[in-house]
Amino acid sequence: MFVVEDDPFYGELMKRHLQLNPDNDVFLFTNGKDCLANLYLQPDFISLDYRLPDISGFEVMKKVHIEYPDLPIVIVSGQEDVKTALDLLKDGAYDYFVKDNDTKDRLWNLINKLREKKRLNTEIDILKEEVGIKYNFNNIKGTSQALKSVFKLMDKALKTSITVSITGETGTGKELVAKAIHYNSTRKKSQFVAINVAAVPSELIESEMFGHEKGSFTGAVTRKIGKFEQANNGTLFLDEIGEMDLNMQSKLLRVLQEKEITRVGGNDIISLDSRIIVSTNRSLVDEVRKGNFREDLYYRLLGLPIDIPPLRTRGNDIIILAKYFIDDFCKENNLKPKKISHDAHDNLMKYNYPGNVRELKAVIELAVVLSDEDEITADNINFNSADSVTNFLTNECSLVEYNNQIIKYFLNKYEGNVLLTAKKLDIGKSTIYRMIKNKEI
Amino acid sequence: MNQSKNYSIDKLLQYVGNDVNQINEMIKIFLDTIPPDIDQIQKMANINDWQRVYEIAHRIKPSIDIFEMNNILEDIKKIEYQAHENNAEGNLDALIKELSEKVNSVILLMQKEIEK
Repeated sequence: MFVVEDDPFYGELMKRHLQLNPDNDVFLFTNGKDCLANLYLQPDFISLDYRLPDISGFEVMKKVHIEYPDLPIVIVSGQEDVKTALDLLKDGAYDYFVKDNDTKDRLWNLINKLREKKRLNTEIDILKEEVGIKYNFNNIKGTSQALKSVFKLMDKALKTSITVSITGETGTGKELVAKAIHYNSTRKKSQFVAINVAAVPSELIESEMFGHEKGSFTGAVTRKIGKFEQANNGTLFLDEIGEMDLNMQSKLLRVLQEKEITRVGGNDIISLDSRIIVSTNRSLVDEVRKGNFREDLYYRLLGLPIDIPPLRTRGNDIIILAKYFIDDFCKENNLKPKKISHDAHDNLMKYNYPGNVRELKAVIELAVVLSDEDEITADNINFNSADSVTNFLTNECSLVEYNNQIIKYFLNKYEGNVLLTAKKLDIGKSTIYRMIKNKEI
Repeated sequence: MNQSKNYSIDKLLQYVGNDVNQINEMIKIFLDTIPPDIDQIQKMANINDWQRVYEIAHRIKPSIDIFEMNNILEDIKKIEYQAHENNAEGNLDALIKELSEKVNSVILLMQKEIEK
């Protein structure tokens, strides 16, 4: 830290006082120019006398802040002038102390406070980095062709701020994909803010998204910053966008067009620069057709569409994910790593996972708990939902539709290998080629 | 404070702790810097450079306060105020002379103390 003080005695006194704490490395300068010339030492804090022999403390502060805008500078002065103090605080001084009997204690406390703040900021940076690692693309497990296509699109999403619309069944990891895009993009230093549209009551959604001013409605006792504002310069993830009512849809459309919001009950216009990522497990096209979703909003939100495939179509990804969940759960609970038996492997591959990856994780964690040996057996695998055949039949499709679904399922499972699919289903390969050509599957 | 000494090191102790070497070093710095500053005040007053008189008085005021030299501090404050207001009429010259004498006297006392 720097002490800049033109009185040699008082400067030395402050230096020695601050050095009572061995963590404080204090440099004393008796004029402004020496202070500025030594900024390369990158002090964490400057105690600056307002009256210096060469340049004023105010000028020194301005010059320091050009190079280091966040460097806290406390003006310590014999001046007991309120106006000067207010002007300095307005112009960026961290605090203003008059040289009196309390100066040393105030300075001491302030430095401790700044040190604690710095520690917390470092901790935040480390946590941010950890979050970034957590949402690295490598942590989305799987090698299937279907997932590789998702990765390709995610990678494209990183290069611009294009709106991304993610579709996929429940439990496929739509939010994980949204976070991975955010934390690998240039917006990662700002916030990722998620709002589940379906979970917020319709009368609160506007205030939740755009914020409100104090007193704008009964219960608005303080000003509230909305999700859009929180996500400024970052990413706003609107989960289950298909559930938004038509009234709110028109407000959202206006915000997306104008790139600005006004808090409920407020007049100030707030400019926004956020990437929007939306997700839904419904078909928005169908919702548009039914009149439940505005067509203009649909096209505005479509941006880069990413469809996350259901787990049952991702073939060996099931096993890759299962192994990952086993290792993760064992590590977290200090258990020895476990293997998957042949029978358990078969059971895992046969099931259709209506709850997708989320369901697989739950099944695996239970299996680890239930298994007594170092291997998970078929007995340890318990699927919560009804059996896969019952699940499949509850859709009540026509026989032709079931036929197409079965062939499509196996094609996905064997990553588009027609010969293998034909062999497994005991049908002719030309039948499958014909169906592909006719876009029946 | 020892009234006979007209100064005290109690505040200094609060700043640097009970380390005798530190205390002596700080007193030495004070003894080396204050007399030239008082001389400078006198010189500047002689050429009616009241702005410089004000600046020096303003600068040394906190150091004088550390040693609780209350008589001297009162004089310094008066000189600072009058020089700032360009109110050089009246007794400013006399006040500076009085200040010089008081400082010299206490400085001698302090020098004797640390030489013991």
